[in-house]
Amino acid sequence: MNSEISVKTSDLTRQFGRFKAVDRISFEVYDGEIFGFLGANGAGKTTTIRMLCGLLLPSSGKAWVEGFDVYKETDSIKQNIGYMSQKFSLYEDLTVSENIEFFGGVYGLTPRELKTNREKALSDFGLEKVSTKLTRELPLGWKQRLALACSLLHNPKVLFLDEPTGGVDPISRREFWQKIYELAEAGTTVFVTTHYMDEVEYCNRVSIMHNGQIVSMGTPGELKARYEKETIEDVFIHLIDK
Amino acid sequence: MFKIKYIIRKEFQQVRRDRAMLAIIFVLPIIQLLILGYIISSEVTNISTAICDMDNSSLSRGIISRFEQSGYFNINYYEQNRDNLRDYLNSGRISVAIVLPPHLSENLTNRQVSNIQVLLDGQDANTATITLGYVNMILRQFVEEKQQQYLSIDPANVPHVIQPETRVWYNPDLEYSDYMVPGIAVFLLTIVTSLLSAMGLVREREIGTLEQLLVTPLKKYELLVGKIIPFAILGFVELAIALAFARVWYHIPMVGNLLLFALFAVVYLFTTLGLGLFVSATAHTQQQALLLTWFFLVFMFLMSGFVFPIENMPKPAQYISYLNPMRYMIIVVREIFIKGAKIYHIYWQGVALVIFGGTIFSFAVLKFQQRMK
Amino acid sequence: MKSRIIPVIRKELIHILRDPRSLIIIFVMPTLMILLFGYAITFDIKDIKIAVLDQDRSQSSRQLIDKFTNTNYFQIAGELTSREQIEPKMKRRQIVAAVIIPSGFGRDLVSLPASPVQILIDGSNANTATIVINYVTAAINNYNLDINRNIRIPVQVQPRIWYNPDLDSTNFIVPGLLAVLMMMICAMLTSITISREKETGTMEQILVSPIKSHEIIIGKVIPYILVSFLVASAVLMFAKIVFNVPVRGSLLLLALLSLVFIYASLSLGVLISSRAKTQQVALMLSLVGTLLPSILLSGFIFPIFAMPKVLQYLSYIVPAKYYLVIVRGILLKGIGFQYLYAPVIFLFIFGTLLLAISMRNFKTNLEG
Repeated sequence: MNSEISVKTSDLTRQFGRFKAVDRISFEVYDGEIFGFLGANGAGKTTTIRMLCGLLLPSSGKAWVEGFDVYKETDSIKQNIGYMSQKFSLYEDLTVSENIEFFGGVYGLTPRELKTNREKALSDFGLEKVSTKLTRELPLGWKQRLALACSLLHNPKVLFLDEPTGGVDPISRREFWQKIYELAEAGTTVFVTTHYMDEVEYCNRVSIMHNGQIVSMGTPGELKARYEKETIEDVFIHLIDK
Repeated sequence: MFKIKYIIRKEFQQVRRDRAMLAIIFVLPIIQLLILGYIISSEVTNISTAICDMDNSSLSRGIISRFEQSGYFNINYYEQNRDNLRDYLNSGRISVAIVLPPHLSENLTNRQVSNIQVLLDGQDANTATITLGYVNMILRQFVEEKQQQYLSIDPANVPHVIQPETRVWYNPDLEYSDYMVPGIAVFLLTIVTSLLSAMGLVREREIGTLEQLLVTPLKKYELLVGKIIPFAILGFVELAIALAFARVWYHIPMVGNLLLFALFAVVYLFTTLGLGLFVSATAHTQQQALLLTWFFLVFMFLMSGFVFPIENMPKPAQYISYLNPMRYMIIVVREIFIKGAKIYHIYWQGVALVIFGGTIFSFAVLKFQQRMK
Repeated sequence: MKSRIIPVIRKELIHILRDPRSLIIIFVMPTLMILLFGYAITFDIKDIKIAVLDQDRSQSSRQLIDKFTNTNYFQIAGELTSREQIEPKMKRRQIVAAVIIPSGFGRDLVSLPASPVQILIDGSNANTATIVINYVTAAINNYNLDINRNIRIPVQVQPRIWYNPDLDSTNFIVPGLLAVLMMMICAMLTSITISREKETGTMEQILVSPIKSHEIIIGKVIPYILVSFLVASAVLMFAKIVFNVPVRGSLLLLALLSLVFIYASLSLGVLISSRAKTQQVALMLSLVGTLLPSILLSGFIFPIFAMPKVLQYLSYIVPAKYYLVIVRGILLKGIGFQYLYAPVIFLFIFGTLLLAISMRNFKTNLEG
């Protein structure tokens, strides 16, 4: 992790009518960092990610991903990010291989790159044996791996993960985070939203969101010290109660 | 730009696996063509008839046998009591009842006029008119023959009759199927392409993969084109199958230029796909997409001149029908197939289709762009 | 058992009411359509464009031509001077038929028993062509009657048109349209009610509860019976007000029997829904599977008795056919139940049978 800024927001806001889903949040994420966004459901995490991915235009404020402006340079942003949502969003009626080939192609990989990256993806994520199976037949943990694999085919600089481990068994979750670590070590910035407290501990830094605003930010250790709590969960509850 | 081919490949992979869809796209049309062709080419025959013969002479029986032998009428009931005929008509057991009055043969010999009553179920005006036409024809022939008999007796009293010599051009056997089947093929093409394109995008939105696609560098137009091309190809395949079937099964000759037809078909596809696209961008759920498409399809079907002649509609309706792209395509298909029309005969239709195709499609694309924000 | 069906009914009603777009389409579209097509659709042909080539130019030939001009049926689109003009005009669709009166027509009228007049007809539209032939023949017969006025024709045909004395196509088409539209709406509505829940996963949730398959199905069908009935009533009311479609029989009877038809149509939708794996398939099947059969095999346009036997047998499984008999019977014929019990029984059996099959396949299909 170095001190180059990967993602930056400044008073980023998104309103739906009079409801402020995201209310003037500001933060910076560094290259190779695993940055966690913790919050209850409806706190504004998903909306934030969608703005950073170019899926939603902010109402006001500024944001940059890899130096690209989220208002004007979304095409460049998309070329450099990977995204995985809680729904996994895979084509159930395609095989594992076909899904990989499709998303690879859509990301602009040449046929040669596609071949190489596909094989790499299959082996890195342990999907070789099921490469010809229909996606709908896979257990949830495997789908998760496939979804992650698909989002990384083009070697993005930033990875956005929106509640990526929902409903997945603990072993698969562990392996998932193992992968995340490896990616971060290699220099990929990982931006992840979650409401699992234990996952928060895996992050380099965390920001806690409530009602669209960031109520606190820091490393897990800092946060626990600041609020004099043993676990992040206690920190979280403490902040929400306020 | 080349990313389009990935979208296309994915669509085909999905379709290939979906047996039910394949059946709907390929098998159902054949079945429908089979059924349609026969229904539409049915002449009105097998008319269930009741005869009330109150004369009971050899003459009246002679008349009855003429009806039988004509091949149009199935004389299912013989009734002596005229009042019972009401029941037959009410129950739908007969379409027509013929009442031969008492003293018929006597009157004929004495050169007195007799009235033969024909009771028709008038619900279906068309069939009723045709039925009445047959009755008139048979009785007229009967009268003519009787007149010949009187010729020898009274030459001054011979009717002079104008005989029309009717010759039918382009479709001498008045084969309905020649006329209808190409139209059916067009209609099937319309259904499949508009439905597929309408459901296609809404589907991805509903299952969440659309979002995933939007996060990628894929451009919106690449997504659009990539989705539309497979549908267009499928539509063409279906059209080809339908037309091949028409040729092989119904022996409908294609008098005109196949290439010209293909050209028109491409333009027409822009309208149907555009329509589906527009629906896809407007509807929020698959159900809405279907209902909306259905509405348009029924409108297009009924106002296309396919079954109901446009020339007979009231003027306002005729003007509305000018907005229906299918109207033009039906004309094109018939003119090329049956009359062997050349481009200069139907260029108006071509122009209309291009204008419509272009407008609908652009409109749809705009709506799609707008929706994607 | 009853108490478990009620929550299902309530949920379905909420689904329906919360989707105003679909609701609007379901109500407005058929009404709009009946409106539009009641006005536009007719088989009655008027203003048939014909051209006349009068090579005789006598008083007799002009009298014959008058027979064509004096009716609404024909519109003289050209007085031709040569035969060669006919084909191009036909190819350009400017005329549908041409009448050629040969020279010597007037003279032959007095001396020879029969004089030929040639009629050339564009057969590409077989429908219109047949009707044109009929009308032309009628016009000529009219002329025949005129010139033979002094000769008594001993047999006169007295046609009596029952149920529809003005031979108004609207009376025939509007009930037919009602049946076709209702069939489609019912099948489409229910076709996705089950497949949608399968796709979104909520069906699984329902199945883990003690509720039985038949309770689910009955609970789903009942709200749609209500909705469809309302739609049918609205449409019928519209038809009556706007087109003066006669109501010669009992409206109450029509209402009751319509319920049975709705029941049968909905059950077809449920069957499709329980078998289809995805909503897309369910929707396509219901549209394609009801649209064309209802229009073609129900007697809506083409008389069933004139079809080949195979198709006649096929028509026995088209619910719309029975409903057409019912609707037309009550509206146009004014008949009572004693003539209609056969279609009603069939519709009831049809519906129940399909529902039974759906119920049996329900659980197994969900796992598939």
